[in-house]
Amino acid sequence: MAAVSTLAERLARGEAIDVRGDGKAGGGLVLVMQSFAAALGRESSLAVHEWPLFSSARRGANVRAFLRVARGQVEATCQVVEPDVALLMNEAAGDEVDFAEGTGERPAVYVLNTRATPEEAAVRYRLGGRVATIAGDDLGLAHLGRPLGNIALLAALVRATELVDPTLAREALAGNLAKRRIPAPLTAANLALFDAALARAALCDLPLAPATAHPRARFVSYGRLPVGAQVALRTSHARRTSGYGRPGVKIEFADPRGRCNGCSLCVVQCPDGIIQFTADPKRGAIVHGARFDTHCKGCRECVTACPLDLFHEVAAVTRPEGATGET
Amino acid sequence: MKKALPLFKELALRDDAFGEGHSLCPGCEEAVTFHALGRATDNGKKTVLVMGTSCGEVSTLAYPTGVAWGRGREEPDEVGKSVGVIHHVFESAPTVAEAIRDTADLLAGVGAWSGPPPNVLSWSGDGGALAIGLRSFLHTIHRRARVALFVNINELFANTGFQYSPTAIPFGDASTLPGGGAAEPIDHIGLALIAGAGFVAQVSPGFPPLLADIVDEALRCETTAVVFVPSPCIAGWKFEEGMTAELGRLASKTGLFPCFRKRAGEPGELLHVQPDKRPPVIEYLSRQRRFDHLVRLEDGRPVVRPGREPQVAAIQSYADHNVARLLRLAAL
Amino acid sequence: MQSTARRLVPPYGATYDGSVDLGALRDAHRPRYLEQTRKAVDGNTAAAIPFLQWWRAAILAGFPITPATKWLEHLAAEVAAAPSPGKRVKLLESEHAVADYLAGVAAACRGLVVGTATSSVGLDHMTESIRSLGASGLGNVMVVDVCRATANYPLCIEGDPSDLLAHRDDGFIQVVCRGVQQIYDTVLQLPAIGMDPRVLTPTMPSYYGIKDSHRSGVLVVEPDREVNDFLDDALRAGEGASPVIEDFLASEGAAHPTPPGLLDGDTALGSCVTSDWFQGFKLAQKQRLAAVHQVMDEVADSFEARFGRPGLRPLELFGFADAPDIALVCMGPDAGTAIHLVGRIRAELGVRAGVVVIRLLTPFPSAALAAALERVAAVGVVNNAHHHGRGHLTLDVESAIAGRPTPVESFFCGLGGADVSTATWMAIARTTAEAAARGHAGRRWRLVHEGLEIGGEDRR
Repeated sequence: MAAVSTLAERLARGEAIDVRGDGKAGGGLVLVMQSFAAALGRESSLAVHEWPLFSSARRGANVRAFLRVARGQVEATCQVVEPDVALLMNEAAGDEVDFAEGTGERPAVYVLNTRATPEEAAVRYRLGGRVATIAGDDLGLAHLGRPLGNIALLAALVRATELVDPTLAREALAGNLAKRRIPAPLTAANLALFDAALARAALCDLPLAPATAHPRARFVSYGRLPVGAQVALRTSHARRTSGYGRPGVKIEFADPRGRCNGCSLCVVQCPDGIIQFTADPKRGAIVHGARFDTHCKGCRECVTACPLDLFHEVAAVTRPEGATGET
Repeated sequence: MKKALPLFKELALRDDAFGEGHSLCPGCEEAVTFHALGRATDNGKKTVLVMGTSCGEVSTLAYPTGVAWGRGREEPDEVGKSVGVIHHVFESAPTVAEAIRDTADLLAGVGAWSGPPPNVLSWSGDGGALAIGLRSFLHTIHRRARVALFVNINELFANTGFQYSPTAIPFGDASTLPGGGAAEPIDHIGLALIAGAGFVAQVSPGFPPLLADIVDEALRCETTAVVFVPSPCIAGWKFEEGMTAELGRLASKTGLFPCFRKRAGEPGELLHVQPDKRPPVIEYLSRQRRFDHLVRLEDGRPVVRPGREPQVAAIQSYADHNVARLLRLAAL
Repeated sequence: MQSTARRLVPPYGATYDGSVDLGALRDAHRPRYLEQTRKAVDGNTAAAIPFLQWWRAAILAGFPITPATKWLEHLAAEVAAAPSPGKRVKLLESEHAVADYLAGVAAACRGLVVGTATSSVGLDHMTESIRSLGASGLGNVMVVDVCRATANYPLCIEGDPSDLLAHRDDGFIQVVCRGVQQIYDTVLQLPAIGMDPRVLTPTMPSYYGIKDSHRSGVLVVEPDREVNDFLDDALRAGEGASPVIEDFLASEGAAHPTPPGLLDGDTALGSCVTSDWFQGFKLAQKQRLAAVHQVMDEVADSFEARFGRPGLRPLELFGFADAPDIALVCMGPDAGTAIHLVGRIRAELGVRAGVVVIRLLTPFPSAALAAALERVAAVGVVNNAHHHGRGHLTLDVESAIAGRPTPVESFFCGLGGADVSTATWMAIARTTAEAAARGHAGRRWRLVHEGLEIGGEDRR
């Protein structure tokens, strides 16, 4: 196998290194990119740009961010379309986009927040080259009480790319947290999380995947657009927003003894309107479930609303290899 | 004699004009209100909804795959079930709604529209109705336009990233005003009443039966109905999942945003608040990280941080005289 | 009971035919002019009269601003004197509210024509709303701009087209008129263009404040019946029209449907998009604007056939039958003085001058202008609005004739309604003739007043 240049070697040769990350809004991708940029920027010979693919995405919707680093000056401002480093911050984001899109022409580094091993991730996402994984959500739960995997992913990114000293990265992270007015105890927990993730990130250098494994979606035409963007209604129904929820948990409904009395509180307080029921003209909506698999964002309003505790939150089953979200 | 279902339950059984797949945050209260409006407008009348720029707009009206509005699963057979939605510019929703009502009325007046008068509603955030939009909001009311103006209040300019809003209670953290400020919120209920609204209400979707009644009354109002919907914002206020409706109820009970309803010329009332027996505001503040600089939880109990007693007292004082003032307004 | 039929109109949603019976609105129209009438009116009144005459113009909205106020006052007075259930004047609290209101009416029922008149800072106050309207497809909106020097430092409420030019890319079809007949005729024709399904672009007729808004002339007013038949026929013809532009976006070759309205449709207007899409919409908007050239010609032909007067054309040309040596390109009321002086220019300067009056400002009629200027030895462009450089119109003219060696002299005059006297025009003609003789322009721009060149910038 021909020797593959490391990223550091390519930087030294004057090449720019392109990084792209995909995640869910609120899932922490921004902090990862900003911290990595800050860490790289400490090295005075490097110039770094970091910027988002801007959208009105709120919690749960897909987001994408870019970073470009080079010796001396970064001039190019176009989007990263052939990343040298591809990040997957939240696996649910990987259901909607190919986070590895555009890789394959050159060896790339993939860093994923997942419970899977690098080998398993390589099979699931058709990856080759360097693959790094870290069970970031679990670490987040352990250190912060929330399944927030971004600090862990940052640590794995630092390990996998070998572009910045981990100590420098840790300092940059602390600086970023201070800038966001995070209270001191939380900052300490984040740094402990970072240290733990540095140790636990798993790396693997695998044979390169076929160059055609992740074709770039090429723009051909805007198509025939409606005047003034006036459109028909209901176009969002097909969008599976179940990926918007907190990772690792889901909501279930269980009423084996048929106790639902039609109070209808869950029906009218579900922000996504997905409660399934039969209409009883005397009592109200008798609930038998909800569209959890396709549209539940795990907000727990139903859990709070139901006076009979018929909704509850459970751990989501670990995604089986090769599946796309079905349990 | 069989008792009919209460209105909010009957509403749950109607065809909703707001569907799934929108990109509002998990637990967003706006979405709950949208469903309430979507169902209440299934009343045999054509519905036209006007949205001002807001979280609600960008998350439910996106091209090409993000329009969550629409009654049922496909374009209805009858115009009475159909929905027209328009988003124009930030502060234009009340004015655009007024225009649509005037158009429908004129067409009906010459026999060009033979159906019942449509439901015409506008939706704005606190920015679009009470900051940049205060002009259009007050003048549409002043002209007695027969529209239902809904105003989502979450004490922030949420869509632009949670900056300070004039509806904010004192000392809530905001990106443009770290730690918040001493200013008390704008008196939105007073303004709507004095401008001449025919029906003014404030209701949290945490009280579904009251929300249903108020939305129903607003849609039947013969002049301008103004409904303020205080909506806890999970992304901006930072609280635990499943607490949205709870916090809305608490906001009412503490007196910070009590439920209120009043028809012009008749005595009004405060609801879901006992003026003389309210939970202390600290119960409400301690559940939201935007007040983390004022209170913390110690063994599950809220404790004021040292040196922050004056700010917490100021918020409590606001709650106290807010209730008193609203009681006076109700009696006008 | 409404008897309606759902008709799917992909990708816009559905229209419920029969839910809005426009015939009933038409029948409710109370005609203002039963026969052709001659009357003395000023510019504002000339622009207002069509709104009284159209049965489709059921709602008119306004907020006063000098020098447009008379438009609103005339409508208010006429409607108050002869009320009708099919005509209403709506007063709003600000121009921004007026523009928002127009959007609501226009979107509610796309068969209505809705409009207002404003000026300068009023137009500026509406900016976010009209920049949105310009892209919306609501071609049934008309904003009459009574041109006025904008804003402040110092304040001046007299007319020049700086406001019109500041709003060049708002997306409206912009036309400049002079004289009451041209104002009236232009307003009559514009909805037939703007509402054509190939165009679907709002319209902005304009005329200069004071010099035209407050100048009276004799107007021939056509009977309501003819005015309405003209528009109704044009809209019926437009419904089945085939695409006029080479659509580089794959064209289905089908007719352009009129999108549903809010009242008679199941549809959404005003969605948001990301940068992945926005550009495509702007391109499509630009292509619709480009369709104006052909549609305007069709409409002008129909106008001429019905009314026997010149229809709305992109340019007016005077003195071109005589193979002029120089061309003076200008806009607005001061063009009349130039036209008046063509003979004197010939006599005193020995120069044959042609006058080109720009009428269609946006989209700019580059091809027509280039054709008109083909054989002249020099062009003098007259700008009436402040510009950071050589002048708005100068840039457009030079772009239209790019590549030709024809010298272009650029002039500023009449800013803020300053008088453009015969001495000024003679000086402009003389300087342009000198450029023809020299073979190149003498300076980059010159400010001329009372025949004197009082400012300018030399060539590098």
